[in-house]
Amino acid sequence: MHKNLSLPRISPTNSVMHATGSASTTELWERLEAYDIGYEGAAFPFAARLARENRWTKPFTERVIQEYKRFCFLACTAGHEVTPSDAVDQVWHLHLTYSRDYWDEFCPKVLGMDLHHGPTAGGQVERTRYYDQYAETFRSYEEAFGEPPPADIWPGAGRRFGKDPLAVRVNPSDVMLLDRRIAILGAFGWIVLGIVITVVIGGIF
Amino acid sequence: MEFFSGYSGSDFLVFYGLMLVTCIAAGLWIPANLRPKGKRSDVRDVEEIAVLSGGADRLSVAVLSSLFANGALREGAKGKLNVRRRDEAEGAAERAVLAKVGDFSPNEARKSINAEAQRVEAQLVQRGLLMDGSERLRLRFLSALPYALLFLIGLYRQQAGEAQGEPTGILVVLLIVTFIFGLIRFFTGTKRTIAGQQVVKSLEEESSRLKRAPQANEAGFAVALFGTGVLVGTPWEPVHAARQAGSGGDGGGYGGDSDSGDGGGSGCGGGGCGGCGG
Repeated sequence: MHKNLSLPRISPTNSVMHATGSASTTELWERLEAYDIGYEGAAFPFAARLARENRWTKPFTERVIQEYKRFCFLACTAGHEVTPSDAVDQVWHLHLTYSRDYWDEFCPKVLGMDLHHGPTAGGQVERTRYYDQYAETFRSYEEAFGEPPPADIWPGAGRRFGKDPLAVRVNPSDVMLLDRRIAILGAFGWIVLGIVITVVIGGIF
Repeated sequence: MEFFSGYSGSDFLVFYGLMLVTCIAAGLWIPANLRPKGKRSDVRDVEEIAVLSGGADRLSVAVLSSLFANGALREGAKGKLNVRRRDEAEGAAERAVLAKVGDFSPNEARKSINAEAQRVEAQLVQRGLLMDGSERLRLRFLSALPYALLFLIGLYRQQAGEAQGEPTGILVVLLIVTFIFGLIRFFTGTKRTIAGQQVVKSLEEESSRLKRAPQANEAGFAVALFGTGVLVGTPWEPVHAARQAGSGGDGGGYGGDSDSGDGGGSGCGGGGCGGCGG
């Protein structure tokens, strides 16, 4: 039942779009679903590394990897260039660093084609192009899988193009990480505490 | 001092606080449940969706977004908009906007399409998706009634307490809070019937993709349903900025970050991350 739900809807468009491979889109999806990224039997597997680098939970990491596979499916079948969400892009980046797995196994044997990663060249024209691709990816996703992409992995444009690109690489042994909301709440709490202490001391003396 | 004569000042404050919480709950329950049921029917076009979701104001920004996305409008000076091409009009509302000369704000555009908004609203009232004037007024009074009653009780106790020389400062603050909440309850709220609420809810559920990343031909529909917030991060953000500038908010800026995005595909020839070695 679950598998049926996750199977892409095969439309005539998809079949036509899949011009580079010899198999049908269903077979492509089956290969993607069955594929384990990384080295077999590794003590520190791909998913664990991805989770550690992004501070994700194991269930969330598995969901993002699943979305990466859907993204790759769309890249092969949608007929237009596709743009991933930031989370999916992190999977893609890490997968590219497993270069033997990516170029010698994944692309030729699973996708049946080369899937290149192209960072933006910057500027307003590129910005518009990537937004258009992101929106088109959403539409193709909905057509192929019969549901919109999950909002926690595929956020809106404001988040995707306004906030997510601000992320930086940090080492937790060098810096302290504090959730912004907790920081603001904590600062507010200290201010209130300061006022209370001032009032109490003023009342005593 | 017949009423509440057995309550001390602090007892009454506790009573008043509990009643205020009850009023807040009632102020939420009444408009959610006591509005007319109306009649369920489909909405026919973007104009109807906009008026049903957010009234004339929403219709104006939906029309502006649609025209901006298809290139008929462009960003003007000081966060305003102006007409770039006049041959794109579809319907009376778009024609009214494209007839404008020079830079204009969403508020000015709204004035131009008021007549069209009223026509659409009358249709929606007739079909049972929006309340008529008397129904709206009745619901407003009903929603604000608990606050009004509590305010009168509190005012009575405050006057009596003051007459006896009791401190009433905290009660006065609570009276002001009650009055403000009552005003908010009276002047805010949707005009939709229960059927209208259901139509909007089902449209929102069906259109979650548009809330996050609408395409150019969907921008008007997305704004009609969700407001200009959906334009943040899109190439049509100037419409949202103009709307925010008109209401005193922070419009943000689409152009602020131009190096965000990665893409790929079989046809992608440029870029590409180099290998990092074994």
